[in-house]
Amino acid sequence: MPFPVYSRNAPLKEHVGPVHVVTYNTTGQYILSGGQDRKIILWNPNSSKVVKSYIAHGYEVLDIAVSYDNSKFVSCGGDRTIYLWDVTSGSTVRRFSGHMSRVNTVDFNADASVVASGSYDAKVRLWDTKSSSQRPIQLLEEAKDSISSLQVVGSQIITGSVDGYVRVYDLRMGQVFEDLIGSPVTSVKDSTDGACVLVSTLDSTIRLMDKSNGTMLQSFKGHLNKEYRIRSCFGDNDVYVISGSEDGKVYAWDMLSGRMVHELKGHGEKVISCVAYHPKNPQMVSCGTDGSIQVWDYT
Amino acid sequence: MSRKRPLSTAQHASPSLVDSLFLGTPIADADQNSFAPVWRQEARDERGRKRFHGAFTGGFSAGYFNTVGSKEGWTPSAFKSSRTERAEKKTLRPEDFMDEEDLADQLADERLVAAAPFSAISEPSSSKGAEAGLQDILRGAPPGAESVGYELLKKMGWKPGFGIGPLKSQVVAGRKVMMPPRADEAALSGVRLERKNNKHGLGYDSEVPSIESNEPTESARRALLAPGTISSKKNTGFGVGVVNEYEDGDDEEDPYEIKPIAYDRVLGSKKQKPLSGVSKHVFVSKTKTKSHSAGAITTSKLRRCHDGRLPISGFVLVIGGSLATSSMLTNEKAYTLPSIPDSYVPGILIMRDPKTVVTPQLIADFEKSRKSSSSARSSSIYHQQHLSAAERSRILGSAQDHLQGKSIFDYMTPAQRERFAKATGNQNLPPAKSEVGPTLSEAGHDSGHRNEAALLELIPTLDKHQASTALSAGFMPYADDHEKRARYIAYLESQSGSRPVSHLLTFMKSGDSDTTAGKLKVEDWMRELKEFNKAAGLFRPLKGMLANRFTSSANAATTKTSVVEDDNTVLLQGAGQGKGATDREDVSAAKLGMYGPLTRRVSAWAPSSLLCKRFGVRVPNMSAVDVSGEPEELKASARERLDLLSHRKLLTIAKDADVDEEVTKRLESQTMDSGDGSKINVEVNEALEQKKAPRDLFLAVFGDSDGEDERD
Repeated sequence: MPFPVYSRNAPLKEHVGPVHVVTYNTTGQYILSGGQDRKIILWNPNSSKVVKSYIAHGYEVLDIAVSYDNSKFVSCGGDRTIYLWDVTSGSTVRRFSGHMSRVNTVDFNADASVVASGSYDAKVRLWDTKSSSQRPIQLLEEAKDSISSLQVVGSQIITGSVDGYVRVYDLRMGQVFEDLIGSPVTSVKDSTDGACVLVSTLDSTIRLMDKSNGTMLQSFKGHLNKEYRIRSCFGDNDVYVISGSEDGKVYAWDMLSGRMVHELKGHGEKVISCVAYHPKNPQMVSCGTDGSIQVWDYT
Repeated sequence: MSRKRPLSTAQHASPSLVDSLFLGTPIADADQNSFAPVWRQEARDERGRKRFHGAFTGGFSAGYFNTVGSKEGWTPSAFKSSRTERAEKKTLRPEDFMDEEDLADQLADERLVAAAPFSAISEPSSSKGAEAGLQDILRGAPPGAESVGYELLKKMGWKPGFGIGPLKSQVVAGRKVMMPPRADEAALSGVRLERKNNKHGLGYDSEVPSIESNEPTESARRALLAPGTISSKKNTGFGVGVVNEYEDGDDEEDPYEIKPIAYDRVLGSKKQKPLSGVSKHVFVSKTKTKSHSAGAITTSKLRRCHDGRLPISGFVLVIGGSLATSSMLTNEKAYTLPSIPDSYVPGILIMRDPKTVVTPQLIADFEKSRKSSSSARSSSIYHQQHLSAAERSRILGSAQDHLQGKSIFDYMTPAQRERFAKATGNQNLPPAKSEVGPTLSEAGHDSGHRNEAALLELIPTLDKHQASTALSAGFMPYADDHEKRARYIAYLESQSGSRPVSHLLTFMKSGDSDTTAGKLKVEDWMRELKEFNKAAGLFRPLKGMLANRFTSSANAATTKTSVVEDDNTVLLQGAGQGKGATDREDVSAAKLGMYGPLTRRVSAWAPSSLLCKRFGVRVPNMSAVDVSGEPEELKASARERLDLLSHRKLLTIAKDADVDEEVTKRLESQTMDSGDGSKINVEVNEALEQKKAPRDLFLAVFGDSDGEDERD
């Protein structure tokens, strides 16, 4: 499929201050974005219109995850709390607190019964949404430094930490696989087939690591990532590897060859912190520290 | 018995009691208080105020008596604004708190003293000596405040400038005239120029009681002070008890204070008065003051000025002669010089070796030798009196040979010498020789060449082996000063032999004129070398196990460990690797990009059951988990192995760190009992193999009874 390279519409500028996270829902109909202004905004990317705003956070919003049925989403941020929202009503269903520092990343499991959150305090807490317990089900304490990113895939929890390790917790096997990457990890993303993990690190490199034996399958360079958390993702059914950058461009590589295929300018030289690809269509969205969200289409 | 009494006797009785008889004196209308029982008696003071307020009688008076309000307590009264009367401060005087006793004491203490203008007759302007005048001005005394005596004198016809006394007949312009006596300035002025005969310091005040040890009693104290003075310390007064000295609450007098020895006390000092100046409020005549001061000097002895007047009191006129010889100036006795025997010949006995014992024999020998030599030289005394400085220094064997008896005049030109001679008036100056002194540059060069070799010798040496180990140490000191570090390395190299020692001299300034940057002055250079010598002993490389435990700060400095939050964005800065001086295997593999088994670590992790339930997976059987690598070892006989390992590690560490031999031996001797000992015999289990109970007992307990326990 063609790569979405055109920024047709004007960027969405509803946020005041940097936008930290942007994500599609499972159908791709909507985007959710969260930023420094403590707001979460639900957009329609095609019409560029704001659908709903969710305001409850006390500090900036750092990550959002949508449940499988699009009825709920969970957000986390600087106020050390994880908020579980109901999309339609716009109210907070539950709040999970227990982290000792800001929560960097959050994710649902497959049936949205467990929320996993990773924090600056180097711990991953697994919360139960079904019960009304205030304490997490489990605590993952293997990391030595801030958890920058995590993803729950099937019966695995993949975490990336600033201590340079990517840890894959396999529930079925009762094991944790720790892979040393070398530099602080800012983003982990599982591939569609579950065989590899896309790891972004602070040495301006993105690596594709094999989950089974920890070898590096491919590396992608050319972008700039030295200081900030830049997230990367797969595009178009793992054909492309897309990442933001600190120089204001969205980079796209061919996954198999590692060759850079696209360099898209947007967000005016400011850091592009997050990119997300549409689950089905050739569309992607990027957000940056300039406060704008850009939707990219292929026409 | 008389029935009718005459009217006169019935006069005293009241009209209603005409018929009653009065015998004795009636009881005076004493206060009912004294005849009442004790519990009813009221205690009042002479003013009629009640004493022993409510508390004593068991009542509650709410601070009423003698204080505020009413019996019921504070009674509210109308508010009186003090906004306009704020300035009025109700100052309470001590008299308000005194009772009669205290007031009586206060009265007793009062003394009548003449006020300042009345205290002494003194001329206004002249009396203002340096200090006294300044003080008065500071106090704000109006200028020209004169003593009352002065005013009175003037009113009676006295004029300033005249003396005081009856008119004297003097010869003025050939005629006898009655004139007032000659004025003696000192008499009227308050300044008394008195001789200081004592050996106190200038500011000494004998009245200051800090140095007092012998007579703490009051009477003695009073005696010490001159009569007529006001005791500065109030011995009686409000708040002062009988033994007042020690009741001041340690402000000034600590009864246990060990006072320093008073050096100014004289035996039998009770009768003496202090010699400090005392101002008397009585007009003191000229003669009396003279006799008090100056001791032995009486009027008759004083010389007079050319106009016949006496010098100011306290001053002695000395004409001619040298001051030092005037015996009039000192009270001291003149001691005559000792008489010198005729046979005395002046000379010095120089002893080369101070340890030689001075025996009479030695002295006799010396005398003989001297006498013999003196007879040879006729004018020996004269000769010795005219020894020059150079000769004297030579005789004495003084150390200043290098000066070689040069005097400043050697370097002067004759013209300069003439100027000196004229200025001092002394023509006997040594002749000027116009020499040229040694110049700095010459001295510098000479000393430089001479001293280079000496400096090289002064460089502190370091053991070759030590120097080479210091060189190979992973850590080089002086990280902040690269030049210093380079010099340190050069020093180490010179000491280990890879560099010539003379190379170190390049770091030193060759002279004052050398201003190359980076070069050190000689002293600094020398000091630095000594420092390097010491540093080389300290910075040795760590060996073996210890090295792994310590990391150098150099590595730590390069890692970024802070997480910085910007205003707008979240920055994640990670800790770089840099663990330990050497990279770990996995870190180095990751650096190279060789991701794989080297970088991967698998360990067991047990998910909680609830988590597994939520995820819909079965709880994994942890014991069956096959984790390759180290963790497996840990599981099997983990503790034993750990103990073994730690013991072995301990030993190696101890050996590496050159720990005291004894300690290592002790460690070694510790047999690894935890690992090998306490062998468990699997076959036999003592606990189980015990003799079974006898069959009878067994049956009795467990056997069939006669149908007792049988139930349907």
